[in-house]
Amino acid sequence: MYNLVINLTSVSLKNISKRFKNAESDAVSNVDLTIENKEFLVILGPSGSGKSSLLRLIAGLEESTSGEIYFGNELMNDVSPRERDVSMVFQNFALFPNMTVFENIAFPIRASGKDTTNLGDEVKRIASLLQIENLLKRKPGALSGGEQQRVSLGRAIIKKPKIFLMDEPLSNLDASLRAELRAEIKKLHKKLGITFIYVTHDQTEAMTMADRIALIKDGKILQVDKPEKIYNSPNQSWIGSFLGSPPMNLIHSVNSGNSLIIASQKINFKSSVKSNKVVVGIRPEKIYITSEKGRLTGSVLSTEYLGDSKIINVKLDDYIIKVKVPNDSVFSNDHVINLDFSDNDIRLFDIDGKHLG
Amino acid sequence: MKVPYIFLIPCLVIIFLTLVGPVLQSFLLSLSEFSLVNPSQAPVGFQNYIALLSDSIFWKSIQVTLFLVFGSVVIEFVVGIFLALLITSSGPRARSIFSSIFIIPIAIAPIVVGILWSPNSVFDDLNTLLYYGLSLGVYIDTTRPFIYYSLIMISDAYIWAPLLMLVTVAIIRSIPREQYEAAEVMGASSWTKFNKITFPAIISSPAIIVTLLLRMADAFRMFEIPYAWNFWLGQDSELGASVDTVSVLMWKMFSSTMYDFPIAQITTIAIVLLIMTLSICALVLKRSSTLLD
Repeated sequence: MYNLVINLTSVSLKNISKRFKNAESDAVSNVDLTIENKEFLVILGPSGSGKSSLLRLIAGLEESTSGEIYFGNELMNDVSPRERDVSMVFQNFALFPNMTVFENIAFPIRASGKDTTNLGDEVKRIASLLQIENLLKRKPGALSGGEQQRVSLGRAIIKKPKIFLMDEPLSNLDASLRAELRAEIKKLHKKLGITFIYVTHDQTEAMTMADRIALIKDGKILQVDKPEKIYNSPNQSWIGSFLGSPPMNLIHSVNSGNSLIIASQKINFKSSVKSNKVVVGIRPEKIYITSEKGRLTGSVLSTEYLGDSKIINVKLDDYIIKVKVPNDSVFSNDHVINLDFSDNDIRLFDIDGKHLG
Repeated sequence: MKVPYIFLIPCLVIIFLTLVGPVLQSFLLSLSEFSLVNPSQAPVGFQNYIALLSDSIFWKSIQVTLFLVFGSVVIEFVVGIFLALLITSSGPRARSIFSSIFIIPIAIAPIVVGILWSPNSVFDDLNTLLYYGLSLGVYIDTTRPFIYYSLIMISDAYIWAPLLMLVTVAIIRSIPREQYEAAEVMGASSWTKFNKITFPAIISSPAIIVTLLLRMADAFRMFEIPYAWNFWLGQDSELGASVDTVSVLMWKMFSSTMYDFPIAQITTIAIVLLIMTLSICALVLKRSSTLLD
């Protein structure tokens, strides 16, 4: 019995697929995903990957073509969005333009016919939580983007939902506001103690906020893991190249079990991987430039200054690999340099991009 | 520097000849004594206006006009919203069928509509059916003011509701889908969604306000449908009949042989009507300029 209560707000997707009318492929394809109670899960993927569709399936705004959605132990497939006990925040805020901020925040209580006796105090409490108490009498049109998104957060909070759904809530805001609201949403998650499901294409948002990240591409979930895990140990080469700026270096090479041939240079590398042709993945910040004899030698092709660091493009045969170095390092073009790295930072993938070993 | 003005001259001349000239001439005419029977034009100052404004028949026609304008524009608006909701909430195929059917009345001449909705064409048969066919013992009495005023308003709405529908459809289409989705997730019913999202968006839209005001300005000149009803009610030779709008009154004064074809008096009415319509147009322009900025 107690167990049931605790599990009540976990979300389980069982083999969920969604194909839109007249579409040639599934927007969401055979997704199995469990989101734990009180977890902050970020669904991360490029545009058109089906991440918003997945969220809308959870909200009930789309009907799945096949599969089952459970909240706790309850099957939700045929439950209307009104009865799912979720709140949703949208990228374009979706505030009601003809209502004041107060009325917007109060809307869920009034619309669902709940008790409105303490509504005024409740709205004020939420407004002060989001630092918009001085805006209550204004209309959304008179607010900045950041303020509008705070109002829409308030409108979602007042409902006291079991699950909080957010569809790219920060994508319409400028960079500094984004960072500010990121921290606030994270704080809000701690304070409310409910399940958050957050959709974004922005890896910084995913990395900074998520308890776990679910990476989605072409409607399929590729990996669900903690941010560090998904960054350091991607189970597909595509994830390595999608996450990180600059992305993971991926080099086709030949594996013998004891050694790897990377761009016609042989290095010692013991692995249990059997396959001969492999793709070597290594993060730019895990490669160092050394004055001693390194494991690889290449020539400097160009340098990109990033402010806090520099990217050196190093030419190895036909490959160009990126190396991240401190911003005060100086390397002239065509300079031959030695590169080194630790075996632990190498990740091997097969030709199709799947992680090996 | 004067060259641009030279090029403007032909245009200004045409505007003066076709627009300003006739209005000025009408105004001068309304300040004189003039009829076809007695064609010598003699200035009488504002005497025509004083006579007109103290004439009960004129005031009655103003009342009838205002009543019909208000009634038909309200019906058009309500029916237009209803049709727009039907169109925007139906599937793509039904939508194209509905919109092509609903739009047809706009193309029908108002006088034809006045005949289409007449006792002879509809209610005689309908009443026969109701009274004898179904033996209900009731019939629609088109000679009762409530019935015929309603029918005139409905006939006018029949023509113009599609216009309001088109404008409303455009407004509804421009409401972001997320607003409805947010409301739905927040627990709102269909009625709440209409009441809190769709309807406020419609009435706060500059497009609908301008359309309604233009419809009102246009309805002030309502002629064909009340004209037809003069015949259905057998009041076509009576000045100040119960369905005489200002336009119908002017026509009766001119067409009847009883009144010496009083051009000056008719022109006076025309000028008053023009002033009323222009005031509404001024309101339209003012509203639209503040809203469209």
